[in-house]
Amino acid sequence: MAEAPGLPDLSARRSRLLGPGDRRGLVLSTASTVVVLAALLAIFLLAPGSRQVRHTFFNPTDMWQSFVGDPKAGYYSVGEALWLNIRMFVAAEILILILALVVAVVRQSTAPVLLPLRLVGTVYVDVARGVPLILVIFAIGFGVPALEISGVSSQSAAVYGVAALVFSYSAYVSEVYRAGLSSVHRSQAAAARSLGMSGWASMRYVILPQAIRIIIPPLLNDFISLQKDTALVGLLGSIEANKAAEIYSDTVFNYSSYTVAAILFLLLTIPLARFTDHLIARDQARRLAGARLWAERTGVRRPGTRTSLPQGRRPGPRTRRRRCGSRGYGNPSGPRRCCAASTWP
Amino acid sequence: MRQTTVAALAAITLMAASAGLVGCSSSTSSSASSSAATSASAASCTFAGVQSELYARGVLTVATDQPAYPPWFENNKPSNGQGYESAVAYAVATQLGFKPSQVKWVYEPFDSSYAPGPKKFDFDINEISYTAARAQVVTFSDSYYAVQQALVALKSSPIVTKHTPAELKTYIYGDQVGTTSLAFINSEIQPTQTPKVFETLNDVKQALQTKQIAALVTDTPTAQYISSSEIPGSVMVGQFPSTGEHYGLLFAKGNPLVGCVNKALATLKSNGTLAQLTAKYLQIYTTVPTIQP
Amino acid sequence: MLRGIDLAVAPHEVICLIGASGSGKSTLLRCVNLLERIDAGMIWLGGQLITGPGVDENLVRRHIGIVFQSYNLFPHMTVERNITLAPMKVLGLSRTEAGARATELLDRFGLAEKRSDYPDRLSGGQQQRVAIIRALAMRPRLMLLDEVTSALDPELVADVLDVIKELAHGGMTMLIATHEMGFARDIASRVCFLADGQIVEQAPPGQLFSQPSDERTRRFLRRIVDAGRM
Repeated sequence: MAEAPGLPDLSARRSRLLGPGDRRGLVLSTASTVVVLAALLAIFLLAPGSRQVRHTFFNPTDMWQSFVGDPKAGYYSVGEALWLNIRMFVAAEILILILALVVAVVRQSTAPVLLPLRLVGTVYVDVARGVPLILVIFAIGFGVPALEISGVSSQSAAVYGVAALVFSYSAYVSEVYRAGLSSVHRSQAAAARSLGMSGWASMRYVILPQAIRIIIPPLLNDFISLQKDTALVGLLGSIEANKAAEIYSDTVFNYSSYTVAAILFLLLTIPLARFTDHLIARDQARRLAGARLWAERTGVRRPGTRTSLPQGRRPGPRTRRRRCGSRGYGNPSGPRRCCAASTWP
Repeated sequence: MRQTTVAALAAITLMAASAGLVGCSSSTSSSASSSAATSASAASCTFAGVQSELYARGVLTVATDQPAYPPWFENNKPSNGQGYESAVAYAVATQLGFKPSQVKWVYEPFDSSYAPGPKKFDFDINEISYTAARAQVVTFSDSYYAVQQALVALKSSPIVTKHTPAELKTYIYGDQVGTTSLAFINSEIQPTQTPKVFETLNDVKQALQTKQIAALVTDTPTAQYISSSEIPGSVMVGQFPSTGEHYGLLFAKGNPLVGCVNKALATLKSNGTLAQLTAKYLQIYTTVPTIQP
Repeated sequence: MLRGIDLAVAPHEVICLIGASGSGKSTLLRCVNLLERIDAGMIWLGGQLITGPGVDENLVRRHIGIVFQSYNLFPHMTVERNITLAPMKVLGLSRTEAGARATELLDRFGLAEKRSDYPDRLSGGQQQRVAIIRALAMRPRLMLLDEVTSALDPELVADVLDVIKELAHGGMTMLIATHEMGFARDIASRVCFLADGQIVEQAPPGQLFSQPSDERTRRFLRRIVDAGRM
């Protein structure tokens, strides 16, 4: 590119570190990553207390024993106890998604008849988000049985735990729903209402489907967090995975059971996290693909490129005369169109 | 320039690694010398003799959990010398030549009392039962109390009258995490429904009062105290026969101080102090019914 | 803000609203289909007062179709579903009946091959035509078009204008807010010039464009001519 008079050389100067291509950069970053990780591992393995720590936290025998369990010896299987966590968070998540949606829709509505419910909803969200989950678990888990209401007060600890989780998490998730609902442009609601759809129908068919697609990543995020919070239900006496790990640890005086519990939770949450990333990427790709195709078809061109039809286009059902003399959008210095019929999608 | 950058990075990480090595070298020397020290200090279990084995010189640092329950401690204040374990700790301290004012109490949650690495106390007294598995990680003193498990239930519970071995299997039990009660329940009683395990004894008592559990399993003195003073309308159904369990003081693995403490305990047993303290704090009932698991 | 609009539209009439931005064209249209509440005054549709108390707005909106500048297609539905949603859910048509209506309209406007595509795969002009079809699927008695070509690239405008012309020739009553003066001249029965929320002048296009009686109209038209848009 020729230099315009008065301007310095504008060609990019690449540093010698990143030489021709990025290959040297890649080698360097890989090497430094490996060196740092190896150094950390070395520090861990060579520290004086390393043998003790490895035996206490990573002892294979203890890890296996705690995974399998032995009730007669006083400890339970962490693996089996995980099943209780799974059942709790699946049940809780379903209830949370429903309750949070109700709260969000009520809080977003403007109908005057719903005003008392809106106030209750706001108070609920403030309280549920303000009180630590552990206190909610104690309040429901010990308080409800103490009330001695027949039927309600004699449930298992896991039921109270799920109730506490639903109470607390629905507030957070309802805010996520509200963010999703607000992010659907008002024009969508206007379009739906203009077609004669009632407020409820437009919410159900137009707004909600769009809102939910937008908020799936943060919803999955909250779900992953919920999975770990099921550990708190152990405070009510149920043998869930972390409680089983604690029992083993206190019985045998070894912490390896906690490592087992941590690994099991990772096995649950990592696939879910990668799935979330995949959903985000797929949604992005769809939207970007749409934008690219649209640009091609409407003939929005970068300046300087030749006018040409996209490859492989069949004549459309309508051929029409293009306006003579137009240059086309975005092409202020290009050639003018001739007044010949052309096929255009 | 590229080579020097890589070299610089490598040098920095190597320096960091070696700094870590240098910083943590103190613990190796102490564990090596402990076995040699045991025999040497066995002869001198006096105040002056044990100084080198203490966590803090001039002070006997004793740990226990919070809250500290009766009848083992009173009013949640270990330093008042009342309650069986508080009294035993002061008795041991006196045998070693410490004045009561030279005993310092610290809080150590049970879950971390057996963590690896140096301890922040000389010994931990917290109704901890000796088991072979636990003895591989920490050192226990000899017994200061022989333990039997007992049952507490509300007077209105069917378990008060129906507790044959077969009937015992049908109830939901509750106990505190970290106690040997769970192993006892599962191996001796063998209930059909999984017991509930709570973080603190207070939670277990709460669960009993709200009828979430049919009965609470704990050691006899605690059971006696709960049923007589703490939960109105509760009763100690009975105690189970001994399985050879005993409580011991918990020391860091290989701590040489245990030798002198064992000698002190032996003295307290032979001169009747332990029996006196047992009678004073731990025998609320003169007879305790025994039930079979 | 509208101040004193007095407008009567006879059946099959095409009224074009012209005026600068902010003159109230869009607001007027949104008031007609009850998207905006009016503070004072009355709107009558087919002899019935639609701004009185106790009027079911949803019922009213079934008979008025509106198309916006930004098309507002539902992005999570195919073209066909966009068109058939309201007839099915609001008018209670069966899937086949609604589908038949959609097919007929798509064929008529040359978009039959797009019926299973999502809106993001269509060009702006195609999306706008689908928006018009979506409004027509409800068989409204009145169509409101709010600057429907203003957001389109120039070469796509003609397609959409063709569609509107066809509607007008078919007898649809329409209120069109537009900047396309040539189009207004071709198609309108009457042109209204709005400024500051009032109708300054209304007259058949031949008269208004060549002999505007108000000074403000003259100034506006002069600016349009200078900008080369007429």
